[in-house]
Amino acid sequence: MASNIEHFVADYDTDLSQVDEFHTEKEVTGLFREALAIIIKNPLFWISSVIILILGSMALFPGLWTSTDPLYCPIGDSNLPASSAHILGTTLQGCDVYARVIDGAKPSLAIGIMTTIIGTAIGVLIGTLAGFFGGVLDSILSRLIDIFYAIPFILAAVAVLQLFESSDSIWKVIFTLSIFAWVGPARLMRSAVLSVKQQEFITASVSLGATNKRNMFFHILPNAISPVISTATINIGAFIVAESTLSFLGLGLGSNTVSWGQDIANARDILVTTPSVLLWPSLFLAVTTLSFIFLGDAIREALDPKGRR
Amino acid sequence: MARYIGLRILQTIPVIIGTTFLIYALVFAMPGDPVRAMFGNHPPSEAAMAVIRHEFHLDEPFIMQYLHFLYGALTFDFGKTFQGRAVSDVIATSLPITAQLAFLAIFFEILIGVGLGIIVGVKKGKIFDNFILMSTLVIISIPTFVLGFVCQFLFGVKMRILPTTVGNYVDLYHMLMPALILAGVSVSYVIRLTRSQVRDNMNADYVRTARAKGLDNKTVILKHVLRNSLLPVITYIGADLGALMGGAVVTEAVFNINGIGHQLYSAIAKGEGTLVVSLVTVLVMIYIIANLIVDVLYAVLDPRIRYGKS
Repeated sequence: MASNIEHFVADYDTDLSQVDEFHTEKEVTGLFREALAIIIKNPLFWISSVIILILGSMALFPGLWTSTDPLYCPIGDSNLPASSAHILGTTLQGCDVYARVIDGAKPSLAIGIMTTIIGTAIGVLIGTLAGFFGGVLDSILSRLIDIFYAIPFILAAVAVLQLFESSDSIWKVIFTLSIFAWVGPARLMRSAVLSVKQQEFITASVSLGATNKRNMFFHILPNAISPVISTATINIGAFIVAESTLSFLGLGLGSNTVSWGQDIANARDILVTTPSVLLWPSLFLAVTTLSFIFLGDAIREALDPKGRR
Repeated sequence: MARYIGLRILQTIPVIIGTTFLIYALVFAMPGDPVRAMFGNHPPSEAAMAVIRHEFHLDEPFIMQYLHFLYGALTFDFGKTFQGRAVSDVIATSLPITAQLAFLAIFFEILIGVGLGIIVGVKKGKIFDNFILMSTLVIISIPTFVLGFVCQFLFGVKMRILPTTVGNYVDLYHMLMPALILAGVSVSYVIRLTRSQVRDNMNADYVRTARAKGLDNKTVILKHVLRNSLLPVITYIGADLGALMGGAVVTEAVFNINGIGHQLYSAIAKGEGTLVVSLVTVLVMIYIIANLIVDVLYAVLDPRIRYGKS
């Protein structure tokens, strides 16, 4: 505790109007810098980061990894075992499994990350408003959260996806998932804001005359957001799984976009004869999801002051 | 207490109206004419289609259609499917199948999830602990349908000890693998939750007091630690019932089960508004009632919580 207290002590002749700003900024950078110092000692953070960087390079520069066209599928090459030309074999349609696995990284990562960013941004805003203002606004927003929570997620997503004409755009999937992605962060944020709001430094800031907007975005939000950040990282993995589930149900991306979920669904037909066609996209999907879970876990451990002692 | 339960029931009313309205609006906005879709390439005369539209209230504005539905739902009359089958009949045949699947999954959550969670929480061994924690994360990160395919392949095709498909054979033997797959992710969460609860309580002051009194290890764990650890776990499992019923659509597709998720999926694909909304309403009601029971139980079991006062 001793090291925290000195952040709150200002120099004798500091202008009062600066006290507020000076201290909170010290405190916030302090928290994140401390977290950084903890996280770089965590081996799981390094392992998951390296895997995510590798996957990111597959998504951004697939040319670095393969020069085979994943959509070039000569039917004569159907179901080949692994060889030097096709290092992971070919699918029933004759597509190169390795090229398809590399190409599937892009839509999966894009959907996972974009959905998380959009959903978390909306959720943080709604949760902060509900928690900060309370009263009627809180009642309305909380019921809205309850409504979205009660709807079975996958089935609602299926219904929303029916509204779109079939296309290869990943945006319809991102849009659909985002409609439901804000609910979790909103709930988390609301309860975090409720507890931060009652702490003494907020009372102090109010008594110094800080406006609602200033209190909300400069004092409460940075202090309440840590659980949302670690959960959001884990959610990237959850949305990648959700996308693959929708693709499995035949509603995700069109057949001109390579997707792990679709490839897994197609692999079912030849599971008995060629199990390896199921293995590779599943393995990539699982490793990607697992990396985001580990990363989120490492962030949570670093940001959670209870876990430090 | 009665006041709290009353308030809690009142709170669910806007949720039920909101969810049904949202789903109804979604289905209403779907492209295509469902009446034409009923007949395929040989549509009947306009007059015949108009009669059908009128019968299903499809010629009325959206809000009227919704009110018709809401009025019917209040009297447990969900109308008919386009094939002329009563919606309540569809629910009556498909709901028990999914309920059986979900309850079997809950059974596995308690047996494997709570059981392993307690063992890992009480034991001090670092390797065993890490192994279980890693396994739960691996299961969480694999999509349900992949897990389903792998188990079908291993236990059904290779070892031939369990059937790969359910179909019309709705019994314990055929439901065993689907229920395990459905429970998979939840079991992982239950293990993690139970473990951390038990760990936290093992270090609590009251446990030290109990040990200081001279109680043996078994009594301390069974009578003191578990009693305090399992409350959040029970909450999680209870609330999970609704999630399992709604999430069963993938498991039902993988194992060819004719449950409510399967019915709902095909109703969405056919654009059958009334059926979709009716089935979602049933699922949402189950979810809400399960949560209600859990909340009330929580208030009964935990005297620290003073509901309805703040």
